[in-house]
Amino acid sequence: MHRSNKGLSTVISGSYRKHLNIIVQLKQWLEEEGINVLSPSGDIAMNPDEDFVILDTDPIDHPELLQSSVFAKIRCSTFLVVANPEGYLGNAAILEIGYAIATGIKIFSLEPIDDPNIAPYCSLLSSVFPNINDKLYATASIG
Amino acid sequence: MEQTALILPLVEYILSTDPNLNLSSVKIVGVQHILETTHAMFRSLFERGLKPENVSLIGKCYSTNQDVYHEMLSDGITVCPSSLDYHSHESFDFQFKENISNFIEEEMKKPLNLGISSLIILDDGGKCLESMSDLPITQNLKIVGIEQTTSGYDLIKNKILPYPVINVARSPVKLEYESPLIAQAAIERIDKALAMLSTKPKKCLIIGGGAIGKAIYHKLNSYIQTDIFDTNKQFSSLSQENLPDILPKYDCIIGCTGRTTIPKHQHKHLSPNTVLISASSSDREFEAVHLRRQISPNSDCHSNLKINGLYLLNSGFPINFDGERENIIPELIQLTIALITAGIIQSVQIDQKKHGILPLNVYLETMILEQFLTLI
Repeated sequence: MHRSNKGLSTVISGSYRKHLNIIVQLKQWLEEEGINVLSPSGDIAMNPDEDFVILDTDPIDHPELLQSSVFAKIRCSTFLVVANPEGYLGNAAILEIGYAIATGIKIFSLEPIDDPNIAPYCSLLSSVFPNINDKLYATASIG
Repeated sequence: MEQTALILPLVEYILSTDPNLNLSSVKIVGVQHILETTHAMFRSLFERGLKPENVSLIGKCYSTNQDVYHEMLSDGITVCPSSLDYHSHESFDFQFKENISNFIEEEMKKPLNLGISSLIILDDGGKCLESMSDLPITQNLKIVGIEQTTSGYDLIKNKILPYPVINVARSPVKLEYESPLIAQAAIERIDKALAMLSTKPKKCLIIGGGAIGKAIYHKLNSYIQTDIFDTNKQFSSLSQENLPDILPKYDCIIGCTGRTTIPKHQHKHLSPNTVLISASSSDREFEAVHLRRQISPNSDCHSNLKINGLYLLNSGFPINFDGERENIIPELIQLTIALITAGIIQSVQIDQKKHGILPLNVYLETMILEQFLTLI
């Protein structure tokens, strides 16, 4: 049964190339919790070996347009979730964290963030959902 | 099987921002692509009071889908039959000028339906606005124009029109975000068309380094050796300045300028088996009519033609208009359609005393972009 998180929206930031399976699991789990995940919308990488990964539901493969879409979705979000297994943060995730900070929304990460500039703005997702990491890593493999 | 009527969420969204919008006293006359997304926009406008009998459109043969044409007629919209006319031995611009002139003449003869207090001239290419520049202004009828293409804007920008024109064409959102959508559709159609040809181009030249030319260049260059030529050197990847000198080096040429880039007298510089593709408008990029006149007349403007060793794709018309119900997927092209809808909303709200070319309402434009970005 879905919990009553109606009205909450989020974007998941992370590396589609390295951690798409974790991101997809996380998305599914957040949706089961009643949270509307605005991005990513797709589950399958169409070009997993390229620098800018396109997902199956992306209607266009234009990086700027797709990134602008993520920013617009962050503007509509209640919080940002950072999928950073093993602490990994790629450029896109860092960019989106910066954008979320500027937007003023809360940021939750799967794992602690070491960077002293970013860390003060982030909390652990497990502080809100205590069992999240166990559930995720039990069902999805990293990489 | 009956088609489910297409709904464009972005059009619905922008219409919802003005709950008091009432189009029951509005007549719309104009040039539009007779495609499913255009029809979807009008169906949404009908929900806001616009009456089908107060809509008269003319389309262009290359951007008219026959099924949509008949569906519009079934809904009660007047669509000029010349929207389907194609004569392969005449240039499109020549035919269309005549068609527009006849269409406007017929429209001017019709008395306005009872209760009409506003006329919106909705144009794609400026010809309709130009032809209706002699309309008498009366106190009882508000007239507002809308232009959606840059070529149309260029045509009317120095003219004194007796009514205001809303400039959807140069809307910053349209200029920045529409080109990638057109480029993607063009590339998809180019790939599809090339796959069907017996020849496989090895070296491609894009003429025109504007937004669409550049976007196609970046995509195509990843799998075919591609250069881009522009008379403005900063947009060119080539140092050569004389186009006829470089033409023989390429076996695929894509015109993205909106003007004639390879006129008839330069056709002799093209190598045998060169593939000619337009990614702009009309059939003027390569003066295609002069090639088509070298073979027997045909009635399908979407034929890929082989003419004296040259391949003329889509009969020289823009490759992304291939006769299908849509030229770009609705999820994307709804951005343009929503901007046109915003122009219609603004036309209703505008004060008739305003004159000249007016920018699209920034507030509406910004809302459309924000919503579009969350929908893709």
